[in-house]
Amino acid sequence: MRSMLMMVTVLLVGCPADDEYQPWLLEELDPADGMWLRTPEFSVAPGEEIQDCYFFEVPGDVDLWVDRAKLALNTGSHHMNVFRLKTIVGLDPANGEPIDLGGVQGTVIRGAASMECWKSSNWADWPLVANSQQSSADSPIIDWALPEDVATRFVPGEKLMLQVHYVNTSDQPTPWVGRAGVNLYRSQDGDTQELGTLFATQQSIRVCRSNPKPSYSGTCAMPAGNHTVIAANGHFHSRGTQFRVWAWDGVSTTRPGDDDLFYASDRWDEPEMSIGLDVALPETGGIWWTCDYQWREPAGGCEAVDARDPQQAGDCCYTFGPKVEASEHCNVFMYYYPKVTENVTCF
Amino acid sequence: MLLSRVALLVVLAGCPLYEQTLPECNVLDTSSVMLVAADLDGNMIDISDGTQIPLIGAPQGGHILLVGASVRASSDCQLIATAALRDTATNRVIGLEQRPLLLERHSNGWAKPRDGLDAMPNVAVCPSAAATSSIFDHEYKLEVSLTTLDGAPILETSAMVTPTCPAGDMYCQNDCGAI
Repeated sequence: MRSMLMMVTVLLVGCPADDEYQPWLLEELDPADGMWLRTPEFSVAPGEEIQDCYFFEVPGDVDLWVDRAKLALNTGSHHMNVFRLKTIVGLDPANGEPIDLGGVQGTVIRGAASMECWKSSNWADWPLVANSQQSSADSPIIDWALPEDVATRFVPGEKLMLQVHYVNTSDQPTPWVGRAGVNLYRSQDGDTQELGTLFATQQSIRVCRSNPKPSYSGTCAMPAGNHTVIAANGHFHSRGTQFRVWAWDGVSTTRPGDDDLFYASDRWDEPEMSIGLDVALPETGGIWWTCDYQWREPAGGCEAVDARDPQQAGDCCYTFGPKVEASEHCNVFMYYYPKVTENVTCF
Repeated sequence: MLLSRVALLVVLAGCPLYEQTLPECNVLDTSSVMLVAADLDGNMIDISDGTQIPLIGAPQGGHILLVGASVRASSDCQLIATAALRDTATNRVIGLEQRPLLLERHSNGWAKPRDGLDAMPNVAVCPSAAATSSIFDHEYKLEVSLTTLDGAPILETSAMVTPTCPAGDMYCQNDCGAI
């Protein structure tokens, strides 16, 4: 008996604890190899949601063509999104506090101090650059190499925003600390086709106790031409049950068939980032996407959900919004080439 | 004990705990359907060929048409509606949305969409990469189809309509202008 106890003790001592914090590691890049940034580590208290907006500029004096990216997140992240800045509405980097982001210097506007980092209308016309929702302990880094001859182009001095959202709830725990990192690798082989991005969202969604299983579908048309989808992921909150995206011919008003489905996920907390896709969209087509939901009782009761219902229906309706616990989303992030003139947005 | 049960019944009867789930519509006459649109103030407009429909600024950006249909039904009810705006010159769909159509029966027998942005399709039309001319002040084909909650077709209808920006709304005109 004693020997058995000792053996157990030895085994326990010898094994690394499952809950031990093991930070991810990304290499720091020389300017000749690209650019990199790291957020500081920050704590996320139980029950808390944190969203911070980090601003920085693309360094250098020549265009930066990027054909590989690494996006890293500590466990518990709800998302990280990188956008290019365009129209400044209420979220002005000049109002942020200076911050050292490692490879670049920038400013940060914290959601705890300013609601502007939560208001999506502030970045309505800011084109998507990259995103990740992958923060599991065993796979915290997306290593994304673009296809041959394809790269994302940045101009020197271009302003970018890294938005990082963390949650610490029973549904999406943050066991250690929040932290995000981005590496953008300079293309060295003369890529000629520019990567384009598509961001599409359903806004007036409503998932209510009295109507507990709604579905919302929309289409997003691409500019005319031949476009190939190389990556995609969907984003909703914990009432989301299935997220699907199809190639669409741009003409039909019925949902495309199974053969055209190129993205499907039933995960809301760690939805797959599908990379390595090779989906040719119809020449004057686009995408059709659908979000399916199942209402469920909020962990803390309906008060917070009801409070933000514009209709004040008292029906525990989750409506469009950024807060994971009390609102819902239905967003598509998609990457394609070649970019034509502008990136594509569908609201 | 009896009194407490009675009190509980009174409370339950007087104060419903939440809205009741809308049943699927029993459409009484599939040939009687009226396309409708709403403005941001909730004013409902009946649509026929030539109707001007207001473009509505959406919360996160862009502009939508809030469109659906009224049908003759026996009660408050719901269906699934798909609404699309089509450029007849190119045949491309400018924008399409599919969602539950939540209807409220009126005393004249028509079940009309409830108030609110969520009760009928929000067809996102600006910006749209499919547009070849400005969205506002140009005529497009509005197509609406209704199905049961399981997707069985009930009816389809359409009309030529003209989306319009509120007078003097330059944001709308820029967002919905020629690309």
